[in-house]
Amino acid sequence: MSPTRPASLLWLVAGFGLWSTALILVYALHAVGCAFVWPPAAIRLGLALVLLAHVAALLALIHHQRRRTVNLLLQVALWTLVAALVATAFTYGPLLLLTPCV
Amino acid sequence: MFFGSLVLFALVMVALALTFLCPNWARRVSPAQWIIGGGLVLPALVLPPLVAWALVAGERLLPLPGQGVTRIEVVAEQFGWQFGYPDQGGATTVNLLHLPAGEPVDLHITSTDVIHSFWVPQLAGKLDAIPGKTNVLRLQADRTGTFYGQCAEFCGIGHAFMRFEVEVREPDDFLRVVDGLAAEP
Ligand SMILES: [Cu+2]
Repeated sequence: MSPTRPASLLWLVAGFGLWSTALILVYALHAVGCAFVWPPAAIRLGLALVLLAHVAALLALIHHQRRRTVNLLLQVALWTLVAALVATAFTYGPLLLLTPCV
Repeated sequence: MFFGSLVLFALVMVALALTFLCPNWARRVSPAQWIIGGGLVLPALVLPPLVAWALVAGERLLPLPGQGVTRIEVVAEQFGWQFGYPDQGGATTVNLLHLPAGEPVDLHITSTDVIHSFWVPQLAGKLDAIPGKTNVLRLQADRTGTFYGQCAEFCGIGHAFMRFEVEVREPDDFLRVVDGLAAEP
């Protein structure tokens, strides 16, 4: 087992860190868009772009980490990235189908 | 919903009891199978249908404008509630909300002083009453009866006593009562 560098710990929070930035951006964009009465299509497009960027970032990290599972920490990191990808799709995906504002 | 959760609870308890009573049976299931079965497969079967149902139900409860839903005005102030019925001749009631059973109503909620929160636990979730802003809560009482509401945002010394009653009647009775209130001098 190879030694773990302290900086590798950051990989543990990378996945759900990205999930959180998606939450903040989606929440802010949705609230501001509805308050300023932007057209629903524009709000949906903005939300879709935010989500797409986060899915792409998660996929890129997963791709980068795919073969770097030399120790337990990096294995766990890879699985948290996969879990974060699934969580991002599951929790934010329906946003694109629902009525954005009333 | 309640019985579904009972079934799941019983399932988990039976599995737990089996691990004590028939250790040999439990040993045949590997730790990975427990984790994948109980931690991934079971929630994957239970949670997505619940989420889908909640999203559809929530979409149907959105107070979209122009649907001819009865409008009721809710004004919170320290420390009480005033309810207005503009569709029924402008009657008002204090700390007593009349509702029709089995049909949706839109509650237009606001405040004259500080932030309060409208909450009838048996009928709907909380919605803040904010001065200068009107929030709309669509709710439907499915049966007649008396329900109780309570301010759910700390608003001052009288907050704990800022309660109100909700009388849910058949739609005809609701109209008769509220129209009667409006006709009073
Ligand atoms: Cu209060």
